[in-house]
Amino acid sequence: MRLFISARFTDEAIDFLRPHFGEIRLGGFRKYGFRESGTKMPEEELLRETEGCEVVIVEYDPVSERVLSQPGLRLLACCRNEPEANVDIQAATRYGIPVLYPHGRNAVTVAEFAFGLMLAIARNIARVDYLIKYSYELTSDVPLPGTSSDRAVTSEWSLAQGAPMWRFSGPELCGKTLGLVGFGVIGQAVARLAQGFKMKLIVYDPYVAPERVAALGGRQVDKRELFSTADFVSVHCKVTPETKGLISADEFNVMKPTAYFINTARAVIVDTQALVEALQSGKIAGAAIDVYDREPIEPDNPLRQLPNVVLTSHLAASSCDIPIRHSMMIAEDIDRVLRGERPVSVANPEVLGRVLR
Amino acid sequence: MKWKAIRTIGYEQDYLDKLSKYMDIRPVGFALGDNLLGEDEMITALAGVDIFVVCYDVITKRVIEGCPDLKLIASTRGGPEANIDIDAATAVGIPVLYAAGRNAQAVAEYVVAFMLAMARPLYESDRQTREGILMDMGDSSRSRANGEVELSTADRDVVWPLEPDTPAYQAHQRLFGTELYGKTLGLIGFGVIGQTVARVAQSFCMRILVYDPYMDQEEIAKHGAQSANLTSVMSQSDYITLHARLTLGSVGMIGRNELRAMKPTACLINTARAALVDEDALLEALREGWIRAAGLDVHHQEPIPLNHPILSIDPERVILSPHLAGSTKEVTSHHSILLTETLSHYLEGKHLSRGLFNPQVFENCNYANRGGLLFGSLK
Repeated sequence: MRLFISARFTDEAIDFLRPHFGEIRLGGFRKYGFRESGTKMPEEELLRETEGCEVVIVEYDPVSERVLSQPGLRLLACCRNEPEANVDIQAATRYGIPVLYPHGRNAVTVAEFAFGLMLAIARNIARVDYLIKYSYELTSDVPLPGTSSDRAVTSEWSLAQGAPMWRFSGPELCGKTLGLVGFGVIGQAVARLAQGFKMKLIVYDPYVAPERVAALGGRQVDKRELFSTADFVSVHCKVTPETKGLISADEFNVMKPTAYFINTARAVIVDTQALVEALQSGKIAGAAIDVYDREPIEPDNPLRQLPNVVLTSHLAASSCDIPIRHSMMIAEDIDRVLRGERPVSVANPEVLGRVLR
Repeated sequence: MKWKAIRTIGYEQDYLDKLSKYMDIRPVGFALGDNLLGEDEMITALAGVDIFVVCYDVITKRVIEGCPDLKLIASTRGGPEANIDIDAATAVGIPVLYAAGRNAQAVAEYVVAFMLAMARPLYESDRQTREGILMDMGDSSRSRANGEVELSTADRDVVWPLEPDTPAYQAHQRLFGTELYGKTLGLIGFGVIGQTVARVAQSFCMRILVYDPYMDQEEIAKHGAQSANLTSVMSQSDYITLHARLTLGSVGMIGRNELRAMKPTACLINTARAALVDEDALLEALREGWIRAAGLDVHHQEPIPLNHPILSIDPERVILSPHLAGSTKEVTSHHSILLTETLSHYLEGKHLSRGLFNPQVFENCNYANRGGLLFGSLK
């Protein structure tokens, strides 16, 4: 059989698949990286490269009906969480081609980032790191006598009223309540990490089975209870007509003034003006945001002026470890299908009945 | 008859009430919002006082020798040796009780925060976003002028799109990072703080290596960690965090050899005591790229002087915080609970598994007339 790969895909995963294939062709981004024409293969090029291939692995390249209708094509893998964004899934189904995808390839990535944000804002670390490096507020022009190997030094920055320990101390996560809006594969990864911090877990997600929430030590609650009880609220739901504008002034108004708001999902879920107002008026203690209504963030965005917010540039899923993970997830699922077994994640499961004996 | 005590530190009211059952306890100095006591002020304050509940005040040999009534020191710190002359206390028969692990959770969370910020450059991204380095204002305003689609994320799923090969794009690409998942965390020192760090790191599916000459392999294995020698920990870990006590033997324990042994992709975290690390070696390691980055909460001089060489290290290779890892709002509550329990146990004559810093005081000939008078006095 012939295999074509244009996705980011590791050599280890290719070696894992090698026994199935007589020929393995690399193209697109996998072979050329960034090109003047862009990172996505045009249809004509993809048609040429995939001619005669039984299995094709893409990432962001558009896969149209013309590509899917080629004779001999048995299996398509799309190395991203939302294969429907660039693959014509309905056409694939009509031609009996399963579309595999690495569901949750970035769940751990985003979950870790969400905790990084929680700790950065709650303990004011982004702020003090900045002040030490880029201002004179926390440095001293008077060196202290002796060094800290001298036991007589009390080794506190200072105990005076304006000292860092009074201005910048924050809460521990341990024992606090984490409220998750949305409990899909990413929300569940966040819940697992929360267990390590011994946080209490409450979840608002009308579509998740209560057993799933209970299995991760959480309790399902309604929206109002989530926002009024949580010490940390983190958003992990998809964008749907229902979730656009889901979080607005009503929600910020009932949050505790000591609570923090974290958004690594999508900006359109939140009324940004209401968030800015809540931060300015002290309705909430702080926020950490990775996603914005316009990206790159525009120069006059009011979030940039607020002291009690951490702003990152849509990095929650930006990890060099993801292609390593998605390569093995896809390689293992291709191997399963070729051996007649059910894959772990497929975008069009209805096709499997015809494909697997 | 109740024992007489003073306290120079904040304490939760509920626990003060508990202590008041067996001692008259009076707030002095820092507990009233004043400064720490100097030696003479301390000697005066301790006249006729049996128990000193203390935190930061420096108790020198002179103070100890000048306070014949003092029978017991109860420190709310996890590391009382930082400001109390333990040998002098032991020599006159005064036990030093302490709140072991009062800030273990606070420190553990700070260590994980540092690791997450070194895996992904959170603070650098925050600075660049605020300062407009990642805004690529020129190009996006040009495309708006050309009538092209506005970069709204509500309708199109965009991820910080920038023109490739612009400085903004390159800056953004450099912010890609890695995950903690599956990486190796090396702990130098495995006391209550180190164990708490290990526990949180394990939930991130990190592999844990431990170097602690005071603990045996089986004990370390019970915590799901693997015991290793110092060189192995330095050379195999992706993140290394220091949690050793500062002693004559541990000063400069992390020097040129140890830093050279680290992977060039590895990071060092120090929330313990700056003197554990040879400062010149660390500066060289960062400049030469022997290690990827360092997260430092403790410094050889605090506050950091504004001309200190650490401030001219590439800001992407270092995180600097002003000795806050052990400072959270909950620490007072933790020390109130821990120290009250330890004090009650001592006064009731119960065995202390944790919480007595100088158990050798029991062997001291002066103990019977000092700390010994309080031990079991409530039975």
